[in-house]
Amino acid sequence: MIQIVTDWIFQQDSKVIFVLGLAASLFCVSVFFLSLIVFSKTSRKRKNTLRERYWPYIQKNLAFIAIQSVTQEGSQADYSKSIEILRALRYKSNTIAQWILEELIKQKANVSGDAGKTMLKVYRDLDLKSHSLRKLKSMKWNIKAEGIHELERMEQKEIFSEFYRFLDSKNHDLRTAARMGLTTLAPNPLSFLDQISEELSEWEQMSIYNRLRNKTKDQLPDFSKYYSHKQQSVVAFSINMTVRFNYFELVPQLIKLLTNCTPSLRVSIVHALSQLEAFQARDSVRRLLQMSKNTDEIVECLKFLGQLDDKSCRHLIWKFMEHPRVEVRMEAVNAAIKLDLEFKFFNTEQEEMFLHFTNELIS
Amino acid sequence: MENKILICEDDEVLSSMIKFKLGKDKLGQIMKVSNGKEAMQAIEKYDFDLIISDIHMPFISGMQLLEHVREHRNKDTSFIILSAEGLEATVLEAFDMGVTDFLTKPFSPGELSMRVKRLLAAA
Repeated sequence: MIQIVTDWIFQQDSKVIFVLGLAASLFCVSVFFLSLIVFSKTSRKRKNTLRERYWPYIQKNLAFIAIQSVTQEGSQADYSKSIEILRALRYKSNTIAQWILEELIKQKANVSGDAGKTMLKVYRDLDLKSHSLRKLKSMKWNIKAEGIHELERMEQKEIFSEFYRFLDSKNHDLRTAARMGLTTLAPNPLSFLDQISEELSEWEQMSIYNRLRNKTKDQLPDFSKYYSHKQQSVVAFSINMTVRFNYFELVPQLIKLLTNCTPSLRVSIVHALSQLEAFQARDSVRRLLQMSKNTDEIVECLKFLGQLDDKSCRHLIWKFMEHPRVEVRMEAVNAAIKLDLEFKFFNTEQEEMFLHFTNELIS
Repeated sequence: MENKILICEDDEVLSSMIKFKLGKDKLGQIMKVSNGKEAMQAIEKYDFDLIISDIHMPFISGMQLLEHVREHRNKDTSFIILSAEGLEATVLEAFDMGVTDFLTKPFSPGELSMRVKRLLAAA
């Protein structure tokens, strides 16, 4: 049969062969896509059937356990009975295990106190930790990230070291998940910073700050440890955290850092010094202002000096009222007003700025 | 007379938890619904002393429900909003619309019960 077909093909014109080949390829592609559609429809249908069948049991038993925890009624035997039912369901399929886990995470986000602790107990008793841990071995980054999120939300502190290997992952989302997971679960929330070489994004910085806010002061790290980090974003973040958590005792280190860093970091440092009202930094900031050519840096220095109750820097401030950049001139006028300096207007623009800032101060 | 409380929450486990906690603390007659439409129907039918509503619900949100209660129903009905987000703007908007209390998730059912007790006693 094959021989006959082959002979027939060799006898045909090349155009006919091309058309036949094209038709065969199209047929194969359509069969492939058709099978995909059928497979996805069947699997969706199977999932729906599974959900219709088992979801009421999951919900009923979880609700029963939750009610028991808030009303303090019901015995250990009742709890064990519900757990047994849930355990049987959990081992039936990964899909069902995932539903139970998602429901527990949802309830954990809804309730605190005893009810929240009960959700953690159910997670432990159903050994859902192994379900999440298995995800960390997946080939797909999104599954790994999902596993990390689950372990973080269910406060599985003992497995935090599993996340270190994803810290510098090429995938941004996985990297972020690992960093956030470590901030929440590791005993020292920022210990992972020692091991990162990739940038700490602004979103990550904000998310870490949100997690640090839930920690007590003794759980917070010494931020100055990261002032010499090779990654600039980490240095900027630690300077920012110094301000957010009012670490006044780190002012000397910040002043020292001022002489040994990039202009963008210097802007952050002067801003931090202003926020911390670190007036002992006056001379360093004055020196910086005299030497600086960077507009942002000059503006930040003028803001700092404007806060001081010290008129000795008036000549310096006056000098910047003639600066070519408008933002510098504005900040110089603003500083002069705050310091209540007597000054002559050199031009109408300064007079307008003076009125603007005076009105702002009055209002 | 027994207080009438309406719980509007689309999460079955959470609403059951709240219902049983308030019931156990003998705070009144409790009814629960799982979406905004059912809540509207219940409000039209009965006069509630207190409504506890999730902010995000199918069909009609907790805020819309609050607006409806304040405009068309008994203005004295106490209203507690439950929300996963404690954004200042949302909280202020809710109080501006006349919410009695605002609880951010995660909350302790015990704390909710205490707040309900206090509100019902003050009413």
